[in-house]
Amino acid sequence: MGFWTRQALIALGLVGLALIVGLGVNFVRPEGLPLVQDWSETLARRAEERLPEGVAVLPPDRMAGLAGRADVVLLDARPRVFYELEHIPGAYSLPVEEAEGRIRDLLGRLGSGVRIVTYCGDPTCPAGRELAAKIRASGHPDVAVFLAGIEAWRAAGRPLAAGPDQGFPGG
Amino acid sequence: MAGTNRFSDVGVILARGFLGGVFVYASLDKIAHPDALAEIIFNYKILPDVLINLAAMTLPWVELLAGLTLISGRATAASAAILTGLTLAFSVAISYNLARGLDFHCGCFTTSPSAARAGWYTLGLELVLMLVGGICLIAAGRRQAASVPPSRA
Repeated sequence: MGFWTRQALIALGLVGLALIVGLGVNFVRPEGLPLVQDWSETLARRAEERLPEGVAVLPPDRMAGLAGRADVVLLDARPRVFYELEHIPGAYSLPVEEAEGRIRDLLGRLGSGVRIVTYCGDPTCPAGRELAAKIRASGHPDVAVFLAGIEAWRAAGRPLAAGPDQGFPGG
Repeated sequence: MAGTNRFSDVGVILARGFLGGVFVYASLDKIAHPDALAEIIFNYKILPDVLINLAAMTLPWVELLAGLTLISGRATAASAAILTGLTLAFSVAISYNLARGLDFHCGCFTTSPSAARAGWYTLGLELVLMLVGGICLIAAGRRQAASVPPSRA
């Protein structure tokens, strides 16, 4: 048997051994994983559990009524390129990685009676939740997150907008 | 030339120790937290749902076994090939997700949700590891070629 053939068989053996050990350890572990799991559902549930104190969850049916209201500011927490491709009409772009530098500017333009609603792509995307937490920590009293995200908005057949951000209100 | 060979031998041993050590270290937190690793793998949005938990259960053990084998100096071509293949797969996955703007954790060394997000520096690290893996693989092949009697060469 040639050198490389033997090494390939050893490599396959190592991977096979890892598979057996991994499955075996998981089997005896008290908190072992099921072999197959619906991760979308699991993470949607975890997303609600991980919400910081003082941040409300906005269900999809209530979201439709809030979009476009003058006392509600919608923030898209995804990277700007996704916002430009499509976003909920009336939303502003505030990617979570830019939040530190721009939240103060945003809050300076808003009254305390304004509700801020953040969203991301879907419940597994943490950016909407994280942006809401940062805004809440900056002192704004009324912050909510639309956890279902733009995927649910689109799936419900609601309208979408596209194009660059026009800047925060009052800017 | 003997001095040069000795120098390159030491270099290869160091490269094997470095790469093996990195993967052994990287595997430990993942073995301890398979659930968190599965969540990270899901967030890469590359594998189908049916393979996510299986990958979370198996992948850290592949890293551990291949890393230990590489450090031990036995079957170095096989273990270096596995680890180089893993770094190649991780590099492709990270590049793909960075290019499509996904916000995700690398899961390279820790499964902690508070760890920094993956960025282009993460890809740079994977490329360095791939380079070291390539060196180990080439060195194993050369060592084998040098050990073959001239009549068979």
